[in-house]
Amino acid sequence: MTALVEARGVTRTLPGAVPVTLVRDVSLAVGPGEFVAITGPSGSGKSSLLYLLGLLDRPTTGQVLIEGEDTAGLSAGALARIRRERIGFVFQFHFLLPEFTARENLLVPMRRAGGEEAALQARAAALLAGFGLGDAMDKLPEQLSGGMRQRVAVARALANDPALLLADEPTGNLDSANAAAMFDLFGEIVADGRRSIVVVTHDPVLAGRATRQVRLVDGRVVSDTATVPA
Amino acid sequence: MLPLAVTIALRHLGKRRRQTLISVLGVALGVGFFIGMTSLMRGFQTYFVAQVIDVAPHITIKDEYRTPRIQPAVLAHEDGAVAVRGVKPRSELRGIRDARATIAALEEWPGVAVAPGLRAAVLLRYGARDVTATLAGIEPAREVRVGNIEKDMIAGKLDDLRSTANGIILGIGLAERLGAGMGDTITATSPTGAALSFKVVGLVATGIASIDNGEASVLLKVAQVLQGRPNVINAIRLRLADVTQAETLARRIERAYGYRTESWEEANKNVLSLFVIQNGIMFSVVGAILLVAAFGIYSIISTVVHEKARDIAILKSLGFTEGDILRIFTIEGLLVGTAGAIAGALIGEAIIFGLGQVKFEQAGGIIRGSGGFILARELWPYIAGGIFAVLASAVAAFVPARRAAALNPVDIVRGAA
Repeated sequence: MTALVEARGVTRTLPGAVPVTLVRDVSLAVGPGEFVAITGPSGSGKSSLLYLLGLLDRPTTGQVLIEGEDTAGLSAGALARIRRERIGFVFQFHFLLPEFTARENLLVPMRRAGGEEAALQARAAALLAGFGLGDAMDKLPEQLSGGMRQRVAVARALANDPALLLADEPTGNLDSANAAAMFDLFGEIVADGRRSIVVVTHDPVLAGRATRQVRLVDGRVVSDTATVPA
Repeated sequence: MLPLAVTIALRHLGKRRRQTLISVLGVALGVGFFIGMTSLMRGFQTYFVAQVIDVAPHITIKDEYRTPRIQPAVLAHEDGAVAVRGVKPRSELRGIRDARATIAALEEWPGVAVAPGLRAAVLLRYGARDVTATLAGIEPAREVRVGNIEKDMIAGKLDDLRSTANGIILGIGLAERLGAGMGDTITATSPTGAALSFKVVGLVATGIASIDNGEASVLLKVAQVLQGRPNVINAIRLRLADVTQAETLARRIERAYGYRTESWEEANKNVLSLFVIQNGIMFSVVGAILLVAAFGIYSIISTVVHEKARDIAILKSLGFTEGDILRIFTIEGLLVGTAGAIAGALIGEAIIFGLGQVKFEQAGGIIRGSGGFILARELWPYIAGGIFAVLASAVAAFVPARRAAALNPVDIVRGAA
């Protein structure tokens, strides 16, 4: 079975007078239906690895493959297209577009990808309603609570129905109840076995709810274990 | 449904309403002043040129030579090293030789009307006042085909020149300087000392100061008698059906007859070149206004890009390309420029309307009796100003937009986390 995303011997070094290596020789394959938590101390390269997997950054050496396709030779435009159609991002801060309502925040990437407006509208509404945001659709991000914003962000990440959802400390700004709800949500998202999620978190309790835990220290994978959700 | 990039651009600008408004206003003022000033300048210039074309002959053949005649010694040795020094323009009995034949020949040309004239300086005297003026001897029947003297007469009739013994038509400014009016008798003295009395039978106001203040017209025969130059014609004046051909035709005539032949463009070269300078000054001032406005746009788009760094990272993570980002921010500049161009057209209208309301007495000025600014109503300044504003805005926005497109989302996301 082809991995949705695969890193092969990926190293990322920031150039400079004193080069900083963020990720060292990491190999990791994530298949459909997997819920992977990347853990590790601050500065261990968790987020950097996530950006590499999400094609926001390019590795210094090594390859990143999306559904078996090597991305090294692709143009910036081609990478953007893959991000648009096959990858969804959730960041620590909700990162919603402040001038747009919840619904419009979903519609922005949808319209960019294209499609019939009525269908897009319906899909956006259905996604938000599914996340319990039916009443908040036409509110601006500043009018929403932290938990709601983050759910809108997750809904937006799923707007174009990507196979791969990448989340960088998605619960970092949430209280424990909201954080737990967020992880429940992730569990539901991968439940159909079609999608996979990679979450960067430093919270071991939450990481324990993933199906697989990858631990990074100093940019290297030190452990990669399957867990059984509690 | 607006394109996505336009929607995003509009939202960005909508969030910064005041700043956007000021940028739009900056562009609008530039465009508005451009339209207003252009209308003012072009109005005057077009009016002036029209008056000149209307009043003065399109081509004047004078009894002068541009360069001394080529000397026989030079002609005889065309390839020889012969130079004749100290040659002066030939001095002969002043006047165009064989003028009648020349006129007859020119009248054969299609679209050409010809009138003979004898123009010379005289001293006009009325009571104790002496004024020097150019006395033009004219043939009324021919003159009406060449000039507009009949239309420009504000008192009397051209025919009175013929029906009255020694009638004279004065420019309105000249009459004022003399203090003479209709029916008064004035004395004209030629440089040779001959003097004749004339009765004022008409007053002319052409709108061109040099004519109104310095010219008087009498019958050609009378002028010839006064100047003691019987049968002499020293100016042949032509009017063309197609005024744009004046310069070409003038050169042809000069080649054919040798006499100095001036088109209206050459005769008014000083004024026309003044217009060029005037336009140069106007366009640089207005260009500077628009340039400042463009910097305003640059400033707002730069600010938006700076403030929107995070949104740019989000959009990129959502799969927007560099081209998309470039488009969004360039469109923001274009929107400001377009809004400015439209508002500028309205401001331009308002300026033209305002200038139209200004009334003033312009005693002794170039244009008499207009009582205010002459304003041109043309479409092209609106289009040119608009295009310039939109282009300048696009360029001003493109620079920061390119910076926005080049932003690395990872740097921004790392910085925020």
